[in-house]
Amino acid sequence: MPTNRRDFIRTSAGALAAMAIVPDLALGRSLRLDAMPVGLIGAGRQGRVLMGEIQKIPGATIAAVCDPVESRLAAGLRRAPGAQGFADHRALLERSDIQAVFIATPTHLHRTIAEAALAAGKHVYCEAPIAHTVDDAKAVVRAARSSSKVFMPGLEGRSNPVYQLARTFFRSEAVRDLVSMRAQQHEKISWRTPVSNPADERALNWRLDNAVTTGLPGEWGTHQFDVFHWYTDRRPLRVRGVGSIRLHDDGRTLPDSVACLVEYEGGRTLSYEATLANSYEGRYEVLYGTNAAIKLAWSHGWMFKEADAPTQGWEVYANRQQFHNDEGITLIADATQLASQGKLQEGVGLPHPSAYYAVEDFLGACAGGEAPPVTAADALRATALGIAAHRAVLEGVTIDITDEMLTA
Amino acid sequence: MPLTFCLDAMRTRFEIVLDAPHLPERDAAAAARAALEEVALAEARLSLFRKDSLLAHINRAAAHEPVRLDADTFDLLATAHAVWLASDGAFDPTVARRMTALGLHEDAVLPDLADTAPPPSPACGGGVTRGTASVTEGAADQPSTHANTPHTFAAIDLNPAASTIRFHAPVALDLGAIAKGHALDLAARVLREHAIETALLHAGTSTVLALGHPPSADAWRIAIRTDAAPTRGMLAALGKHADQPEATTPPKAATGPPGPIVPLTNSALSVSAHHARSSPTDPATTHILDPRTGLPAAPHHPIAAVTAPTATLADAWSTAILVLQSPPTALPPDIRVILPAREGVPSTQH
Repeated sequence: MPTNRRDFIRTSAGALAAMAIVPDLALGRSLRLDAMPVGLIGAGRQGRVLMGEIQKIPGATIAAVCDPVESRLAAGLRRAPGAQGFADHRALLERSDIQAVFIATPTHLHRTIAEAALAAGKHVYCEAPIAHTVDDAKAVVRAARSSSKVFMPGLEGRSNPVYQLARTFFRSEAVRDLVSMRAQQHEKISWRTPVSNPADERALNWRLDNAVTTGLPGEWGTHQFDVFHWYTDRRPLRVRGVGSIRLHDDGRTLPDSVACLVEYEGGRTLSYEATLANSYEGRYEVLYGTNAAIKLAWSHGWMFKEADAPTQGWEVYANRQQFHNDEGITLIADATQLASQGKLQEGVGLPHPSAYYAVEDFLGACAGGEAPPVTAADALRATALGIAAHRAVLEGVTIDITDEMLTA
Repeated sequence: MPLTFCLDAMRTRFEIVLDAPHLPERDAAAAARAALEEVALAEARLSLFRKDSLLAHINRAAAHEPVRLDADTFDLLATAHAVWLASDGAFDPTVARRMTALGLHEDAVLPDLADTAPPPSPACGGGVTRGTASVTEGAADQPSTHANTPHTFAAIDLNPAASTIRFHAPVALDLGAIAKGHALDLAARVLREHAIETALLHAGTSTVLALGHPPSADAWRIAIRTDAAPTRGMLAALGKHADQPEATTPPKAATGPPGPIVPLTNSALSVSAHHARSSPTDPATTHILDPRTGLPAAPHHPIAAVTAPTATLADAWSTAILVLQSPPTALPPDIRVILPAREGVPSTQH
């Protein structure tokens, strides 16, 4: 019989205690490496984000940065003082001391560089989508499969502690049967990069280049599609979509706003929306179940219970947040331990950006730890859907997702 | 035709007005948006109110081990160190806990004191100076030795060789008095990289950075408001071009006694004022702390205005001068104090 609040939580929160599966987040995870020099290939925005998170991990050193565009390379070297700069990834891969590389180049270059890096004996972290065509994505999968080195696609959701916790709720009776899914990414930005040297136009504005871009569904949607695949294990069957230019009428033809509908096995659907014309509500995913809905927003997660869903004992002490007419239970990784310390409120939100946890998982695997939580084959499924969704938007047709597209 | 772009960041409104007739409009717009993206990224790194910011990571971890910094953040902290030294401690970004205690940063993300106490360690030599802050020249990181180090910037060790920061006492950084200026400098760098040499950038109309000058004038002209009532803006650009005399920023400007008009060309102006913000629990408490005492700064003069070569320096020095009330003897020659005005010293036109 519990005699105090701590005992009550421990004894009555059986489900939650089982879900306190991540280490103490108060100081972040405790990965420490023995001198691991790494290289960063592609010093654009995402590359610099990755560098900031690599720097936080003791023992990991950014020994080299590569970018063929001089201004981007300079910006990248400011992020990693002391690193050697390269304009050609092949020269970087010749450094024998570099054990692992992070590939954050334009998507259509991922295959070439990933194959070269694996062939050079490097562990590879490759941003997603892993390629701009299904054929290239399959080639990346085959290269990863035939290498003894670690390959991890940059699908951050699977490393995210809040997402990991929420998945255990999703797979319990808390959510029950899946009804539908929804995702959006709204961010009022241009995607057009300023170009001082006309020779750099294609290198810098590849996302607006119809010959190579995977558009909003590919570049952005891939990351969110993988979350749904991870949670549900369901296979996408077909996708249709529409798109238009709502704001950035600057000569581009790529839609800056899209809406897609993905059909999955069992009649479930995923509604996906993305725009560069408005920022309201940013990026999130929602899984709607017959007992509850789970909303995931990268640093935070919430569960919204139906009135007739059974109540668990731990919910008495749960942190809650009001959203207009809905009250959400905040999903806090390691809530049990934090609650026992009286620090539950401090557990709301993650202490590091989402990319940190993916970087940590990758480098931990490189150092002989657990295998990464996401594989090249997982990335193929999400990438193929992103590519198909982009094509559906451009062509105004329904694209079937075939077994052939999902198998390398 | 000048272009204007805005972004809400750092709890204020950043604005860029630029004139680039030599560029296609879409390229000028792309450059301005890229410049504002640097502001957004700076906020993500330096916010005291975001749990996942680099600053929050520094405040959690630097008491336990050196924290590696990118070059821009290291330079920012080195600048803060230089101003701390030259102002005799009147500018000190380690005021975070005191600000929170006074109710001025209720939602600041600060680690528990118990989590930030550095472990005891043996004495060391090398470039670490006992009892004062140091920028360690060329030495590897040294273990902590400052058991009695005051909880000020003296407790911070910056190592340029390793690009690291380390705390030797349970301090916490608050970069609110320098981050907006820093963000403006980063934004301006992007504009310059894309051959935009004529622009006016401001952060909440309290810090302004001028690139070049308007086409038909020899300088951007910035008016300083000196009214004591709380106002949303203390600076107003007198027309985007000299032939447009009406003020453009902010749209709901308070009026008051005319203040000085400061011409700017490739330089920055920053204003700090006691009336800009106060404690929600005690409206009489100004948000400007005297780091040397840990108490609210004496409001002998309500406003301080400073020009400097960079927005970072202007931002830091306007806070320092508001605390000091008069320029220190070590004031660098390229820092000019506009307010408080000194008798017999003409500052600028009215």
